[in-house]
Amino acid sequence: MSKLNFSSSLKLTGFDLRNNRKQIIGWSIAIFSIMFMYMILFPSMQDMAKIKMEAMPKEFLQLFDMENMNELANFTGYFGMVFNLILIAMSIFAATFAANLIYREEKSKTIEFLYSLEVSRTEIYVSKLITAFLACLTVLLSAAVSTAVCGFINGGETFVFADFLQIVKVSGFTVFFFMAVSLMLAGLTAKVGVAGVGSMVVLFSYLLGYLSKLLETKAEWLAYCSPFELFSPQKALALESHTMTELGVYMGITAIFLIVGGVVYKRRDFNI
Amino acid sequence: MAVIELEHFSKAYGKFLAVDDLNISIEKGEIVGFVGKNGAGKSTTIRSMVNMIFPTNGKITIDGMDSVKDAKKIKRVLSYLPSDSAYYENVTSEELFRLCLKFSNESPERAGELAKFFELDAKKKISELSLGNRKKVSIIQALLKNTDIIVMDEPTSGLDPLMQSKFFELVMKEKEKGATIFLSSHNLSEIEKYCDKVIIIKDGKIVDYLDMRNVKIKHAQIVSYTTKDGEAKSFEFSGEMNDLISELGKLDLESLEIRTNTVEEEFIKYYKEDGTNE
Repeated sequence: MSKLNFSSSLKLTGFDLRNNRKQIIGWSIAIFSIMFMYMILFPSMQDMAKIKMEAMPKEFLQLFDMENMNELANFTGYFGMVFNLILIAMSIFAATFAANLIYREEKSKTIEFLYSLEVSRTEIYVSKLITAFLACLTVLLSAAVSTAVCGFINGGETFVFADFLQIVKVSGFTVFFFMAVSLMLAGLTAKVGVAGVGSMVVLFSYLLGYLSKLLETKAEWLAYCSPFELFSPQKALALESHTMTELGVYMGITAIFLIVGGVVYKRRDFNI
Repeated sequence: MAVIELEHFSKAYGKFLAVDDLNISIEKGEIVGFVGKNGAGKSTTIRSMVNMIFPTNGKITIDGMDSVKDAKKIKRVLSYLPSDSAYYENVTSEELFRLCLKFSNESPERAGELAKFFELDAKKKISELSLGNRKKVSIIQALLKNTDIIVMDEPTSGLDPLMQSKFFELVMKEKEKGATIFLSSHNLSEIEKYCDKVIIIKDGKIVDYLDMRNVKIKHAQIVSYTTKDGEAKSFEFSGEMNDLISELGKLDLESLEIRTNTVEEEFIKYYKEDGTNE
């Protein structure tokens, strides 16, 4: 049995990144622009949005994690609210991008070329993992950089860099969690459109988080199924010990998902 | 020692048995053709050899290595040309060859030489290439590695006759160097012309194993004659030649033809609509 050759994985990663650069750059520019558009308008949104949002039903605001009006008055709080929405888009990107890295190779049969190279299945899987991780990181950083730029321009004293960084780190983990879910699904099978399934998992998970808030004590436990809720910007900012524990557990689950995907990928037939 | 060996190899997809108890042994330096109609199990067998799919039963050994446990090591000695020339649409052939070269010790010039030989513009993106040119990319990619074993799944489909002949020119050069070549094809005349052995597969089972060097001895002759009074007859004969000649001597013949079955005729024999192989 051959050992994992990391440099082989890196060679494939370089090729994959070049091959998918348009998609990564496109998403990064889109996320950067959306964040910039929202965050640059922070001073005017401060007053306008507050008036409009007060007129909206509480449940609607809960759906988008905007129930706390006071947060609109400070840049970091406002960022948290916007970031929570952007996280859905970034998680869908992570889920579809990661799944397609594996699924499309088999659907389009390019895996026959890739696997004819002197690489093992594990090395291919690891290369996909690194590619997906770097792509998600790029998109996440584009949101963070965009916000930081706006923060320095119009955030004033309410832009606390350390708090902002904490939200990006803790809430941003959600993106990598869904990346892992999709990689595992694609590792398990390429017979179904895993990208679609991954996106559905993202939306379903968000919905569960919303329901846990809506139903309050009746279904609080649903929050454990939703990293959007467990690691929401508000919770990331407070960073209580239970949030740290939940983050640790989720990191463990992420690692298990990645390992399960890799083990099955190594042992299953390519769907060609 | 056999370079490629399949022992009781079977592959099932659910309840469907695609390949059933295949036993193949290929010696070093041989060119072996693998023929059968679509869905007969050719690609399943070849893909199992290169670990794209796993055997349900049995064992495949390549140069003494297990196709599953030593899949990566096998690639040091084996080149594979897939049947579908599927590549990433937005990259150029040159970029693909560069990636291949990163995993082998071949000189970068070899890719250029092969591209020139096959008249391929390697700077074009895959999306801009015709089916025939994509096939050239597959061939170059497979021959880029200097290996002792070459496994090819329908290597000439989509190639024009000139390129097919160039391809076989290269194949024969590889054979001269001592390479073992296993190829599947629908082009039976080329199989007959270049292969040392031919394996015919039907419904996942080997139905014939022709040694082209001994084919005249082992296989039936086709006898066609016309007598002076106009009687024309054609039949298959596989007995003693002296008996045939003495029988024919009794006839008042105007014309006589005795020839060996072509691979095509052998193939068609097994694939008659009624399924008989008599």
